Amino acid sequence: MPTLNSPRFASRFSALVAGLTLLVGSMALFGHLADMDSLKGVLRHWVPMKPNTALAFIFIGLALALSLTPTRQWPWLTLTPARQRLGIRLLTALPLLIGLATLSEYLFNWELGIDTLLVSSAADAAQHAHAQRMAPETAFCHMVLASAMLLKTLLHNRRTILISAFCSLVVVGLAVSSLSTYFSPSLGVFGWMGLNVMAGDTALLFILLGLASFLEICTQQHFSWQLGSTTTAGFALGMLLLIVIFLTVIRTQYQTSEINGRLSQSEMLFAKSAAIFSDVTQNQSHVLSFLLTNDLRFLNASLVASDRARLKLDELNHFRSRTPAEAWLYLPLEVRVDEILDWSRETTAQSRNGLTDERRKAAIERGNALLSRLSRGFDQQASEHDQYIAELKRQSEYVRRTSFLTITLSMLGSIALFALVLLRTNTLVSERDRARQVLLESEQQYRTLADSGQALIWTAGTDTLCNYFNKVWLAFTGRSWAQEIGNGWTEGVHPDDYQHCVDVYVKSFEQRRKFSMLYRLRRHDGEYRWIQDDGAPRYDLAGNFIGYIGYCLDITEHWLADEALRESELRFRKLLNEIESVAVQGYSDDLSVNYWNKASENLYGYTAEEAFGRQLTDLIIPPEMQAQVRQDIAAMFASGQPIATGELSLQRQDGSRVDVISSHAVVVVPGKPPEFFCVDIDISERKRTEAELEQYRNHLQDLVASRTAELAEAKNVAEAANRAKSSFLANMSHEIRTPMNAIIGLSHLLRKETDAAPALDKLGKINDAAQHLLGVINNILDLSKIEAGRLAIEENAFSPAEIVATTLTMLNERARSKGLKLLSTLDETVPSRLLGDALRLSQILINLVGNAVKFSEHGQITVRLKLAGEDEHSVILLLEVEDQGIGLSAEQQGVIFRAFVQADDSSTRKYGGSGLGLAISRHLARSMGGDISVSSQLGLGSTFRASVRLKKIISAAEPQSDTHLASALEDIIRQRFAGVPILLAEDDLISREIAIELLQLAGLTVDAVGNGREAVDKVRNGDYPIVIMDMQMPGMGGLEATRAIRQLPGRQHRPVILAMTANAFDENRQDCLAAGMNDHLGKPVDPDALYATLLRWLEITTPNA
Amino acid sequence: MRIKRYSLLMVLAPLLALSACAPSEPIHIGYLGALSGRGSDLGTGGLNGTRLAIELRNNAGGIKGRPLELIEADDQQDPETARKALDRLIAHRVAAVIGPMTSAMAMATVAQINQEKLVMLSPTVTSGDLSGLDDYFFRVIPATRHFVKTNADYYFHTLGLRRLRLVYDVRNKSYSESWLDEFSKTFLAMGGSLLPPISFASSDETHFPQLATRALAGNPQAIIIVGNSVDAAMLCQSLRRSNAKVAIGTSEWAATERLPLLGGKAAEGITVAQFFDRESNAPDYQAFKQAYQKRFSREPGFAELLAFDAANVIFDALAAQGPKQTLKQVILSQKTFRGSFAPIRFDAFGDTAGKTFMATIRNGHFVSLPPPDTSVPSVPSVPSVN
Repeated sequence: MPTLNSPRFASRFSALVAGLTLLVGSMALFGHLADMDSLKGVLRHWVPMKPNTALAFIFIGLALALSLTPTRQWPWLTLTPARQRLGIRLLTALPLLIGLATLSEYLFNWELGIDTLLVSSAADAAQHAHAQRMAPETAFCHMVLASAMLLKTLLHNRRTILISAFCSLVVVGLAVSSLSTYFSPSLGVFGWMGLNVMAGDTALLFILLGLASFLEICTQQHFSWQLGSTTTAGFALGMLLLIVIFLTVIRTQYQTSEINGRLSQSEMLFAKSAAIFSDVTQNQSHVLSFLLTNDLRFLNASLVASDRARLKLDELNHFRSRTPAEAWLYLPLEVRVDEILDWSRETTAQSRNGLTDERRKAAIERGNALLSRLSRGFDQQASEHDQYIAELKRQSEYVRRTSFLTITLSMLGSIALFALVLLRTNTLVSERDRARQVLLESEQQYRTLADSGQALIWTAGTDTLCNYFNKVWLAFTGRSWAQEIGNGWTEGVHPDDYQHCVDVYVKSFEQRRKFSMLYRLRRHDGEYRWIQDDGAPRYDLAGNFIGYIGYCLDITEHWLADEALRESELRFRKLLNEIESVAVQGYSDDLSVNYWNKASENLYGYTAEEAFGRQLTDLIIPPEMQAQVRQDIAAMFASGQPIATGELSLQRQDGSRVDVISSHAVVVVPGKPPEFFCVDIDISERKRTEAELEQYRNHLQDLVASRTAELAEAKNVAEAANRAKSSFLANMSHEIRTPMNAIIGLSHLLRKETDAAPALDKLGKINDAAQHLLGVINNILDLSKIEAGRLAIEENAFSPAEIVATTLTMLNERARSKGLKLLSTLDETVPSRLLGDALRLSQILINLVGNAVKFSEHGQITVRLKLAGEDEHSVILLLEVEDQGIGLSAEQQGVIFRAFVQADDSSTRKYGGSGLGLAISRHLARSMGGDISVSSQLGLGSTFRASVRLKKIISAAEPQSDTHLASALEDIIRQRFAGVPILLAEDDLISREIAIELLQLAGLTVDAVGNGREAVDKVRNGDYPIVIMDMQMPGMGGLEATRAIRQLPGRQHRPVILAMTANAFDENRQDCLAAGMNDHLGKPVDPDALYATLLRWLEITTPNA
Repeated sequence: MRIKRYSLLMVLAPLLALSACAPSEPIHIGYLGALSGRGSDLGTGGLNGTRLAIELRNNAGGIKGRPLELIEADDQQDPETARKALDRLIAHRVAAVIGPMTSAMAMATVAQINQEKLVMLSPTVTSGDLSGLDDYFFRVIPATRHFVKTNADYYFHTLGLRRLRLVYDVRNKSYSESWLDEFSKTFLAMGGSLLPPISFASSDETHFPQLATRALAGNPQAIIIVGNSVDAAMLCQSLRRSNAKVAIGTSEWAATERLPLLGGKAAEGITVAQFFDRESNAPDYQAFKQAYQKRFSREPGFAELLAFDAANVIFDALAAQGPKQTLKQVILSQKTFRGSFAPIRFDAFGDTAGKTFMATIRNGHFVSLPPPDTSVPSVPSVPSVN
């Protein structure tokens, strides 16, 4: 059911009212024109509508109908809003003018002739001057209603509408008031003034029209009447009551003043009549006096009184003419006064001409009679006057009471109604305020939502122009709202995307549908970012389209990642698809095919189109395997573990079999059913080949057997050759060393024996040459061992300081001969004893110091022993050898550690040497966990640093033997151990001779034997602290003899057996030590080394010598 | 703003309509004259003339749509009362005052109206004391000196009288003395002689027989009474009782209807100076006369006529008054106004010129006499002197 507020109801009601107005108006007008009383008014016995009123109603009805007509194209007319407005203005102008003209007629007493313009009836004109004139309130209502309608077409804002609504209510109020005239004469508008009364039909039509107009206004968009129908009715009733009050006040004032006027006039009339009475009485008495005395003074006085009476009578008449209501009251008085005045005039006139006594008497009697009659009349009039006054006062009181009651009741009613309306309005307003507050908060919340996210949000109006951008957007583009508004934002769109962007936007707008588009938008730093813009149409609560809203996200990162992903996906897809030999198939969990690459097409004969959607088991699984396959796959899906790779024989489309290696994978994407992939490689070819190979296998076995035999033999040959080579090397070494021993030993001895300088010089040169040769041999042997990987590093306790001292002692002579000083410093932190290969360490040291000596012409050579590092188990020992020799260039420094390389070819010629020393030293240092480096300046000298890692000795240190740094070991031995018997077992005569002589030079007693057996015998029978034993001897070798000695009772530790042999290899030394020997001296024997070794062992074996 | 004007109009329209229902504010016109007492005939006549003028003018639509309302004030021929009466008129904000009817009252009130700048137009005051003054006092008849010559001529030439006695009322001294002076100068200049004038104060106690005896002493050829109609009538009676022969005349003052009515036989044949020609056929006069008779059932006298003319002058001036004009300015600038006999012309001092007419009483009615014939020698008869 439509409420009073609904526009539909309002327009329907208005349409109804417009039709009714037209009908009634036309009917009344026709009735007047045709002079048919039955048509002049709908309501019989009530005042009929006036012709002008009817005409105005027709126009108002037309205007209302026109205002309700939808503006669109009719078959005969295109009704535009402008035309509609113009029409309404023209139609409402006439009622307005009629109303104005009629009101003017009333106000200014004009006769414009409009009342009888349409209908002129002689009878009417005679009956009443303004019989056809519309009532003033009708004119006013026409004017106000037409003004309200006109106003609506002129201006369309809230204030105009309010005025129109007010006008409509005024019309309703006036019409209701006018209508009430018919029910009570005390009500009504201007009727009681004697003016025409609004016709009943007119009043009813005005009520309907006013209501229609008001309702229509209430439902205007600009003016939403939110008070509800009850409140509205209350307000309207309140307004009506106010109008009633207004009219009552006017009427009361009018009536009261009228009554008061009548009262005062009545009093005045009475006063005048009393004065007249008095004057006439005087006149009469003066006339009587004049008659009796004939004194002119009485005559004059009577004339004066008469004049005065006439003046007052004149005034009285004048007033009477203005107040016809009371004219009758004073008529008798006037007549009687006239009688007396006439009498006095006649009597005085007669008396001037002379009067007889009788006539005078008669005149006097008549005068008295007239006076008493006048007196009676006056009394009568006085009482009538009193009654009249009382009646007027009663009327006044009645008016006062009724108006008081009306005003009081109406006032109370309107106050109550307005209070109710106010309360209701207050409730509504407070509700609205609350709603507004809620709305504001909501808006704030949404604003926060809009501004605090990452989305760029915009809205547009129905004109496609953007009217809002959130802060995120503005911060993103770095532009102001004013710059972005409207179409400003498109300036930031990438030129390449612009057209697309605008096309999508405009097209979506036209079709009112959602859109989602990608484009690049310039960020504040000038970089174009990929934006995903999702737009959707917006609608208000009533469902009217109000524009668009869009959310944009910077998806550049996603975009790039997606791009990469797509690329990768494409790559792999292409790879899988294009690869020729690997057939890949994908299956969903129901085993239907969802991937089938080209290789699969080739392998199984199904095209991808044929394969898609079909079951794995229907395609390539042979019937006998199907049960197993299903089971396996079910297990695989259950466990997630792929079926193990295996060889399978599967079925092609044509039914033939194909052998494949099949691998499987289960791919599980979260939230989706698992997928299953098969990767098959065609191995039919390989199978064929294997079959062929199998055929040859037995034959091959025979071949292999014979070949193995050949190889074994070849191996034996090779091993024999190797052994021969080793033996050869050993023999070579032995064979060279033996004569070298003789050369070195003999030259040493010779130097002892001669003082001749030339001879000494030559011996020195022989010794040097021999030493050099020996070094070359040693180096070659070491190198060969290194290359064969057989260089072994031993681990024995030793004293580093001792090593240094010994080495320096050995080279001291050579240095001194070149005029060089050999110095050594020992870091205190270096442990006294360490575990390591002392021999190799001294080899390094000898090599470095030897080089220093070799390449220095002057200055000093400093050897430093330092601790470069230390941990729980080991130390890193640093040997520094600094000379002031020729130095090395940077290039030379880079190559000197290579084998067979010397710093300078020319230097080879100058200084000689095999160029192996540094290479071997580096190898040794590295073998001992260290290295060798050099820093040098050409011409200024070099510093070589060798580092080695040596183990600490955790247990208590062995008693340390004194270090002898004496220059002549030989002298020390002779002084301390002269006569100590030494057993020498040596088969080579020269070697034996040299050894004997060397030992004897040191004061030792030598017993020499030629083989092992003799040596065993000598030891068994004698007590030799030291036995020097060759290894290769006829009969019993040194090793055998040593073992025999050690098996002798009490000879496990004594004598000390020193090997002195040309078998100088480490393995020879190991063999010696294994056999029970205590030390090993390689040939050729360096006398200093011999003495040093002897001294060390002598100090142990013969401490108290 | 437009809307505000519209809405204001909408609200004001009904109010304007209601206010327009009330009748227009009337214009108050004051009338000052003696309406009581023994000599009230002049004042009463003037009032009736004024009333007639107002009624006619109101019937014709008033002045500029506004009706005229007459406020009457009774001076009782007493200066103090007159001033109070004028105050009452001023309190009623009258637009102008018509009156007073006697010179004594004019002299008593002229200062007041000058102070109030209120135009006072007198129908009948002729005192020379007020001539030639730039004040707010106007009059529609000339000052005494303009017409006394006619009287003198009449008595000297037409009636041939040479020895006259003037009896005058000191209660209206300004008028009577100026009349006396002017007449004396003129008459003496003509060659006549005047017995010493006799004065009296008009009242009911005046002993007219005695006054008549005194007047007749020295045997004047004629006795001219300068007094009101009642005094004139009573003196006439006393004179006739003592001497039926002596010629009696009156000044214009006495020429009211009361004179024949009261004088009766005694007043028959006396010479009466008149401000107007009662037998004139001037259309305006006839119209007035008819209107007056219709309205009051009587013949109008000079007071009625002149008051009627004076009232019309005021009305015409009011009708012609511009927005920033005073009434005095209008009268002085327009100068000429319509009168019942002839146009009324004002000089710069608000005085007018005019003439007087001689009449006598026959059978209780005024009868015009032919204009004075200066060539005819004087014949002793029953003259009246004014």
